Amino acid sequence: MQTSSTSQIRKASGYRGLVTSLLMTPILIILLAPSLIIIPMSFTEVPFLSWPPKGFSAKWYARLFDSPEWLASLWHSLEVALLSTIIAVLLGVPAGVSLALKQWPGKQFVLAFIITPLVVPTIVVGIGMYKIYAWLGLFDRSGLVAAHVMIGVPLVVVTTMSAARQVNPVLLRAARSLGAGPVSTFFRVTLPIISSGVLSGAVFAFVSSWDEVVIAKFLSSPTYETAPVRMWAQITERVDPTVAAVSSILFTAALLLMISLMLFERVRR
Amino acid sequence: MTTVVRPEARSWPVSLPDSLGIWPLLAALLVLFMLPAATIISNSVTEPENAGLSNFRSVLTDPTFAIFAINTVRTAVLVSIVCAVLGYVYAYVMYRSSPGLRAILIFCALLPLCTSLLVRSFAWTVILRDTGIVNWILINTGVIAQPVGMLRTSFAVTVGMAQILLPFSIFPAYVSMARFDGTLLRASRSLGAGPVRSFLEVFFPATRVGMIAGTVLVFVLSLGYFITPVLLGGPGDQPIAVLIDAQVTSLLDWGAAGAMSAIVTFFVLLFLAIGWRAVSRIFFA
Repeated sequence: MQTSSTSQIRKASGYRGLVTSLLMTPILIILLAPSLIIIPMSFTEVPFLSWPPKGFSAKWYARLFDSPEWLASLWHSLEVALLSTIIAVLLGVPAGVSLALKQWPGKQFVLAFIITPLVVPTIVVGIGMYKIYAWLGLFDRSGLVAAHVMIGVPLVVVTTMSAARQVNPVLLRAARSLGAGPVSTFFRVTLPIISSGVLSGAVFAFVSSWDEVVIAKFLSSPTYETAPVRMWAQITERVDPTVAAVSSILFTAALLLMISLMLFERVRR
Repeated sequence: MTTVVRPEARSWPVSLPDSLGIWPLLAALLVLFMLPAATIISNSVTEPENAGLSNFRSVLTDPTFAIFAINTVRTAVLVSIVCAVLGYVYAYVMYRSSPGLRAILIFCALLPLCTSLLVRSFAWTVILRDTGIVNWILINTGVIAQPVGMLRTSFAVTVGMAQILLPFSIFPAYVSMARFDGTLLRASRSLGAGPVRSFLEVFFPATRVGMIAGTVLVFVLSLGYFITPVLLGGPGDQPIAVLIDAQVTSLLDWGAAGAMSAIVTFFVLLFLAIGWRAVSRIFFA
């Protein structure tokens, strides 16, 4: 029964192979094309972005690394992304664990509340923070970190929650009855089990901060701007291949992070 | 933490509330997210002083706002339809693939998330412009003689936003398919239903929830898009987010910005509430 129906499905997908590839090719092109063209564009010789790229030159990277403004903006992006990821994990993991493993009333409501920063338009959030953060004493780095914690933390909560659902409550009761307090139960039983969920949440939070431009546009100042904000200013004024070089660096960094996460998952299994 | 608990003790001497883990996050969200968002929305009735509902009245009767609102909704509907169809197809192919191919497809769906939204929108300008890749290919293969203007059109905005939002429809659809009980399909086949009928009457109804959840997210997120329409769209494609930005950065009209923000946020939350059952069944079940 099992094998005959499996072979039936295989056969069906065999003669549907053509249709499948006809459908999938455009989707894959739409998904991948923008990420794939940026790197070849960044090695062009001419001072404008045209297709096909002319010649081969790393001069836009050289120009990038010679520019104190670009280097500062990359450093600021890294700083904000790292700090906001750490804080998002510290706030989001206990919340995700509590939502998944503990019983208390109003969970659906709280969950909906935690998700709202992901769906309320960033422009609304951005101008609100622009108005309030200065009043709260949050400027430049502290303001950007606070804002990016807000958009990163829902991602950490969601991934932590789905990982924490895999935790067998019997294990927690066993740890407690063997004398472990709530803190050591968390660090020695719960956390090791949910670590891969926490890690992917952290990666998503990092990438979302690394990427974010609309809110950052309102919270950064000329002395403290992130790479996306500087890129946005460049793109809307005049475009030279330096922007493609920065994009390639941002892409490569995020890609390496994502690949190491996937490899890490594979090693753990 | 030095308290020694006897093995038979069932509860911790100092009982911590079960909801403890949630409180630091809720406090942070209230001050750092809710307060700014609520301030902007309340600006709609407080700026200028004693504005009452005058901001809403002037925004809702302003023909410019109507045009931007129509642009926003039209783009969101187009993007949602494109993502719903392409995302479901992609998820279905993923579902039917061998584990190796499936891993590659998951990677391809995640790869765009490595590229910043700004960079991807910018990349589309390079692909779609008159001297861009698509026109270069079409001219060199002799399909067309003159470049076709694609940049600064609704087409460019739809493609650019669909590319960014596709993962949001692929993964929920895939989640619902992965949960589908394959024996149901065998049952329907052995009861005499053909492959098409089995798909339409058994598989699709069971996995529709993933498509709905993804489409709700895509629709709600597209209502607030800013970067992509600015870079890829023409004057007729600019959404409300652009108008809000202009109120704040060039007109300094916080009352109008507040009223527009309140209207957009209301619809975002309304549609999310309508689709919440599907979304929570996919993400939190």
